Amino acid sequence: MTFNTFGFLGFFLIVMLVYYVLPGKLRPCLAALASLAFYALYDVKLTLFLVIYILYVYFAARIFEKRNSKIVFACLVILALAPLLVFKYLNFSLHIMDSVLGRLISSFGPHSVSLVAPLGISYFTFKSVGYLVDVYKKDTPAERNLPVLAAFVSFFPEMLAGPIDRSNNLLCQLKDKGEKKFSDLQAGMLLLFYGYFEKMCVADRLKAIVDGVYDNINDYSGAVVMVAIAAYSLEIYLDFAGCTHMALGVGKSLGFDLPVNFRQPYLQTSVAAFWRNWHISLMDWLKDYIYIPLGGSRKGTVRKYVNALTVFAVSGLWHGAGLNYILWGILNGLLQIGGNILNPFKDKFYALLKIGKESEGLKWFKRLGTFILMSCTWVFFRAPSTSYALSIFKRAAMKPEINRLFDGTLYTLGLSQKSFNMMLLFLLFVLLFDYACVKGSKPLETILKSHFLFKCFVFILLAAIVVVFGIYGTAFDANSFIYIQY
Amino acid sequence: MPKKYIHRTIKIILLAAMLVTVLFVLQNILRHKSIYKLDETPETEMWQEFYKLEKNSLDVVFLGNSHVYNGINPAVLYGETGLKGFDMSTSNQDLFVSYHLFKEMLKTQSPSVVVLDTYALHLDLTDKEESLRSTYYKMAFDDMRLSSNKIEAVREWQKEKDDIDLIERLFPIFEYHSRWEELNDADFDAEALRSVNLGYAYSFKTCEGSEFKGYDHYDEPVEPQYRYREWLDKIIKLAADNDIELILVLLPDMTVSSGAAAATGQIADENGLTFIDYNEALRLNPIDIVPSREMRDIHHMNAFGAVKLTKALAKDLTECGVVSSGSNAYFDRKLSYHNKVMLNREVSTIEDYETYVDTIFNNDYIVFVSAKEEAFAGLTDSDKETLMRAFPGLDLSDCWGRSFVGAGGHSEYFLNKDDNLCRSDGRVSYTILNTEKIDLSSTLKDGTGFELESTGYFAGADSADGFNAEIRIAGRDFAENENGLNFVIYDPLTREVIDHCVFITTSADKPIYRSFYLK
Repeated sequence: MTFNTFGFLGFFLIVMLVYYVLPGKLRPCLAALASLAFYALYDVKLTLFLVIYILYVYFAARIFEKRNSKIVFACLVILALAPLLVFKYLNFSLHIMDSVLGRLISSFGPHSVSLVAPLGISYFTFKSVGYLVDVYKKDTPAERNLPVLAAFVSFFPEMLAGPIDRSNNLLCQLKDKGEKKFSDLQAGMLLLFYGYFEKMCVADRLKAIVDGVYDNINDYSGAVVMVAIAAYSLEIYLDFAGCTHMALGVGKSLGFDLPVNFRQPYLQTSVAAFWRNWHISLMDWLKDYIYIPLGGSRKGTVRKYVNALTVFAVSGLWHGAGLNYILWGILNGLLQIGGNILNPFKDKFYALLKIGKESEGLKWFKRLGTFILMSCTWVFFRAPSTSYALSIFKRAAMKPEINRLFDGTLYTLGLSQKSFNMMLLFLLFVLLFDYACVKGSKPLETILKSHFLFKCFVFILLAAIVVVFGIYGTAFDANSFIYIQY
Repeated sequence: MPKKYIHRTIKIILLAAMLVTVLFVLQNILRHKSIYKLDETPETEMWQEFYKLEKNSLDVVFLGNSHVYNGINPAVLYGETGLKGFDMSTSNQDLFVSYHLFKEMLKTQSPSVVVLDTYALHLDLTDKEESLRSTYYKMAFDDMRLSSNKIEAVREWQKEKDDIDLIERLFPIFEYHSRWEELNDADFDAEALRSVNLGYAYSFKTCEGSEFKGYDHYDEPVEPQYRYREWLDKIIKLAADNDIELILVLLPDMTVSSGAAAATGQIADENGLTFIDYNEALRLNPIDIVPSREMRDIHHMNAFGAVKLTKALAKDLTECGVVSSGSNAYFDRKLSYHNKVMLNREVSTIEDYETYVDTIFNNDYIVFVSAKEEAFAGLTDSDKETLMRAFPGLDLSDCWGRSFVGAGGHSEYFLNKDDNLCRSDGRVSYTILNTEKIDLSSTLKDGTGFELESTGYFAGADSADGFNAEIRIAGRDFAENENGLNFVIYDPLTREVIDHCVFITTSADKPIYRSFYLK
């Protein structure tokens, strides 16, 4: 049951109605129950696992309060991480072991274990580990109210694709028994439907093009492959940002401000800035719980770069148990380090050419450069293997065949001409929306401050666009959110 | 309740109402529409018409599959007996569908008789048809109004196929939303283009074969399919509970076995029902159906066959004691519509020039003419008078070798402000006759644009472009573009071109003849 199913809408409507009727002190119980019910709709057995995990986190935090020992802390955090390591990385580790030892011992392997990873395990594990560290560091007291902690760990809007919340945010809000605001409901619904728009109207159209080329790479070369590479960059952004907006919308409707996960990453002017504005909750988590404890930038330049590379490698590994993910992470780390090293030279170069650092032209040039670099790294992310990613680059580097961009080939990749043109129109809208945000405007807030009838008009227009132009229906797989798998 | 909560509740209800209204309008535009042309299936438009019927206005309702919507024409029945009937028939309708359609009908109608085609009782679907069953159900139920009956029908359907999505079935916009790519004028102007008449779908296709004779004896009864028998029992009970006489029929079909008919006869006997088998020689042979003229294929009547079959049925219903509850203006209009559709068909077969011109001008049509080359060379004074009668104000005393275009019809179809119009006795016409090439364009009151072009002998003889005759309606050129008088006939009732032809009028030595007519 993902956000873009009728089942979820029905579930959400019921939860919201009950939530608004219930007195404040009972709301954490409802949030916890609703979250577990949501999980049970996926898998009842794994819900039991989630309950056990919640109990573990609850008692582990209470132990930290009483025994502030590093060994106990390390053991309990490793135990908290264990399910993630087992479910997600055991087979990957066995595969590596097989390929190393298999070369030495001919009769060795292959080994594999049949495991189904619980939904959202990467998200709730990181959230829980963050909470345990905060308690250990005494930034947050151990939560004594079990329903509050259960709601925090398993909060259903964050279960599908994050964001990875923090104890100083959601946990505090869950304890707030204040009256819920009608404006939150309005903002939430607008965010939810904007998320639907991003995902169903734009990302899923881009997906058709990307799949059309990536799955038949030998049929395409040059410009068409480059279009697919660029399309995937946009797809993954709008798919993930769409899912996050839906989560934020559901949370906001219930009166919670969940962490913002994206701030127009593709309109940033460097790879470093891109990563400060992409999957912010994960990058903040990695910074706070890995980069800074490793020394951050306090222990010299070399150590700083090693730490950055470590963070990006972990980020890659978090996304998937595969060498291509690790390579993708390291590549991003290298790009960031390279950008850092080149910064002084770039400044001199601009000065030499008398280009103002704040000129719009230069900014757009940098944005384009960042987009191209990021698009290249995403190839490793999308391709099923490193060798496949390399073959995509090879096909892209072949004869450009620019004419294929205009001879109707683009309309054979999975979208009709009308649908393709509609996608371009929607992309233009998203670009303008994001650009307005970069320039300091707050389009959603402006709408929310307007007259009720105007808000109705915007909401109905958005809903109608999603209903008519969204990609969904019997033949559509509603579980196709890219970030659900992590 | 505090005032602010009341305000919030009102706002939420207001927003929800507006959203539902917008989605309903979009659903109506985007929904799949099954018939805008002849020879297609009527389901979606059948429902649109059914819900507009005056409450309790029907005397008889026909349930069944394509045999019914191709074979029983309620307008003919009304003309023959005054009985007000309606075809609630859908493609491959099985008795599960019939039952739910019957229930839906009872919400607004209380006919004295329901006639059920029992072909479905022995429906033995091929694998391909079986795989299409969901499509037939969709066609039958999609435009049924949202109600507990519809939910019940979909739930039953889900028992057969668990991948049927209840929400998509109850709110078809969620299935048909992607039709935005294929929307056309018809989606925004459904009323005008509809060609379903009281649930009946006109077809003028024909098939091979010179005779269709019924069986003169019955074979051993063949046991009906269990699941259909169960639904038939429910239908019989529903009719009895509502004091409705249920008549079972088996409509003509070259593939029906007498064993199936015998089994249906047994069921009718067991339940005290009337059963009329139109495949039996005693009934079928007197109807005298000629397949090559009156059947669209071996299973179905075409519009001509339906007239014959419906007249026979009218007689049988009268003999069964079914009587009309009185005339009705709506059904009078439907009878006129039927007569017009049949006349449209007839027009396309008229070969005599004078009969043709008189027929098209004496009936409710908009006529477009364009002359090419020496179009007036072969016209006698009498022929010219025929044309002048048709176009008020036209003077053909000096017409040889000239270009000519004409458009005429009832004044209500033309924009009166146009100065080029000539008016006479409720009719108006545009006519231009001169030695130059003519281009004329204008728009009818319903918004349909037309453009006429003519190059007569004087204009075309020395021109590099040669001779030409074009008659464009809504951008499409229908003219035959042959030497002579090119005609295009537009029916404002059905809003379609019903005939386009050319009368060869270029030779003074030969009689006028029609070179082409729509088959």
